[in-house]
Amino acid sequence: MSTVRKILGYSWAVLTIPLVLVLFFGLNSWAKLLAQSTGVRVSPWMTGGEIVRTLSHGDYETRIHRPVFDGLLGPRGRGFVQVDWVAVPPATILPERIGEQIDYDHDGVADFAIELDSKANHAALKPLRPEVLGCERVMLLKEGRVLRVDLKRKK
Amino acid sequence: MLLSLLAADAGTSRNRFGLLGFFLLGRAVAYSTLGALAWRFGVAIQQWPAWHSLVLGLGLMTCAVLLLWYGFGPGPTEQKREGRLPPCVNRRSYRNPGLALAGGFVTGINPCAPVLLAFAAAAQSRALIEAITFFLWFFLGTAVYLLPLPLLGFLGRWDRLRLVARFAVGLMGAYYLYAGLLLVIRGTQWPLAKP
Amino acid sequence: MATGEAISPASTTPAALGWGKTLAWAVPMMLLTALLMAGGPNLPKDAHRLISLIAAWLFANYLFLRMVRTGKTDRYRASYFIAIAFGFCLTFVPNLLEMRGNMALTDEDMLLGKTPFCHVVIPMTLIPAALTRTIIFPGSILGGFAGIAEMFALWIGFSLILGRGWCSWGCFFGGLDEFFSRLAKRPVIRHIARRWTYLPYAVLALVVVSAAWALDPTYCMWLCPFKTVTEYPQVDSITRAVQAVIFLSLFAGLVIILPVLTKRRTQCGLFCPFGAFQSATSWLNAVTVRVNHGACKDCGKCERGCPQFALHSGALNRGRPDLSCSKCGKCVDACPTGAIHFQVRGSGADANAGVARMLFIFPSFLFMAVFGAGMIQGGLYRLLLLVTTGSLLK
Repeated sequence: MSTVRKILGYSWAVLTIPLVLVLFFGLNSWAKLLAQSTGVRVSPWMTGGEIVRTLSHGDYETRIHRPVFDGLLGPRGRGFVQVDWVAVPPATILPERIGEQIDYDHDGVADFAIELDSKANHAALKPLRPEVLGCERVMLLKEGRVLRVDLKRKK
Repeated sequence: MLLSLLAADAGTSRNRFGLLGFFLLGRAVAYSTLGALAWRFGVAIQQWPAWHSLVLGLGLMTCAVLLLWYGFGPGPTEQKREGRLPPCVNRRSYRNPGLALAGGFVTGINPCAPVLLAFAAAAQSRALIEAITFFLWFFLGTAVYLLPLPLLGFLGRWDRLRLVARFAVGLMGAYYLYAGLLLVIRGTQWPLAKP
Repeated sequence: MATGEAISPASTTPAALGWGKTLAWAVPMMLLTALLMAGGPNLPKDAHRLISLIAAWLFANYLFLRMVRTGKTDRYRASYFIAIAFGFCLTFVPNLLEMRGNMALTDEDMLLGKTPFCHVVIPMTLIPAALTRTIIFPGSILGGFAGIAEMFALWIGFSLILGRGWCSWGCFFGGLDEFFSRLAKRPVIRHIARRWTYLPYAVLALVVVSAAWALDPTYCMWLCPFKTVTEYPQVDSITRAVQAVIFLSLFAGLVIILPVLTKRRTQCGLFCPFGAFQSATSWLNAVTVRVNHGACKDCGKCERGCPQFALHSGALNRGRPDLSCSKCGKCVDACPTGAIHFQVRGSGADANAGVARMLFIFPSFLFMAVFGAGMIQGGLYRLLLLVTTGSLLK
């Protein structure tokens, strides 16, 4: 038994040498394999969730993401919906002021109204439904602005 | 906090259920106090908007100091033993009902989101008894989740785990100190005089 | 040692090898590092980059040759390890300045997944990844600089090869701690209570639980001292300002001041949650550090010198260092009787310590040389730019 353990130990020690080569040569392949086999993606709390609707306004677009309530064991009671305003080429910047009513759940009823000042990077939110709680600060993209509106989950 | 307190303590399950009892008692007292305060604040809050931030902030900071002391404080005299990790906690010193009671009180008064929501709801009560009853129901609902925790006390038998648990409690204290300070600053920014 | 033969650990220190055996190990290292560092047959066309590559290769192989020839591990390992850390800073920060104009992370970087993934985040991501199949980090799964999947694959690899040895043979942050711990001749603070060596486990437990609860990498947001030399969220609120004060203070205290005063790696040994986490992977490794209690004469050199606080009377009596041992080799080099030695798992105390040592340092140094090559090359490139153009930036 001790001989078997010794052989296994030394074999493993020797195998770490080609393991280094396999690791570095195949790093991209291992990474792809890991990503595909686990199916992981970046958390929507980081990315804002998938874009579910895009509204075209000529020289800019309004991109509405899905509401994010993802929790560790189930949906959370509070979350947010992210709205992006992005300039569409040939325009490279947004209009200075944008006023819009957003229906994030696509039920035909506006949920909140936004007055965005893209120069001052400030947004004024007017909730039109009780689930809409408030908004965070305006985040900057090179060619647009992003706003996360805090929501309470509808039961 | 309770988890760390129980994990950091050594003793029997009976001791730990006893500690839990004192902890829950402290929480019940805290929640009843909150109920009374909520009612009073419901009356005063429009004229004194800074009060709730100040009081809750100070409560948090009190909790934080307690946690920091427990986590990083000197504790009882440590016995150095040759070749062994010295026992980090005198086995009797932290099995103190007063500490559990105080811990229950300050965590009960801790303004986590559910408590704040309950506070806001209770502040709308017309009568004092209504506000206190509301909070006691809140206490019963949250107490259920705490009941299995003493069974984790077996973890406390390992000196090292107890030490890690104490450090974790201390680190949480540092965070609560910061959170409490922010609330206090927010509270003191508002003029204390009626607008 | 005159004979060049590795001698039983019971009586002597690890043996230096004769030129024959030295070259037998060094030549394969030269070939493998050349192959892996160049990344293929096409060498860089830019003169600065080519010079940097050749210099990095020469540096690595010179150190390995000395390591094998002298039988000493730590000083040569540390030289490359420290060079990796400075190379990393000299590469990373100027790149940021060229791309963004400052070190601050922008909203766009975080929203669009352009934040490089750091290995320290790994413990925090595991529970949310297991339960939600999402990674709570604003990076990219594949591609970009330090993609998430690439770093995970690297982590699995170095856990198998090095375990906690990553802290002394790979971590580009640890090299800074190592550098400052070697600056002073003598320690000013000689004694640190052993209870503090359990703080990293508390930090680990706290950040893992809080990250899972908040679905946010709490260590990165609140505690990571190395944001000082990498990147950090823009300071545009009180919270961010407090976070900045915390990370700057931790860097100054744990990475610079305390290592200088104690001659120990205080950030790595007393705070880093990734090191605590990585301790759990050491059981996967083929080679460990062992103590032959019979040969130990209690001189205390190992205990005083261990940068990771892994050696003390309890550990010596037990016959092995604590979990925080990062296999730096300092104790093995310091031990006058050879009581502390590398040992292949399953081989027993009478096994050949010299062979065990070579079976450990060959793959470890190869890993370190290749992993750190890009950073050292990058650092040298920036220094060459500074010398030839007067600026670190292109």
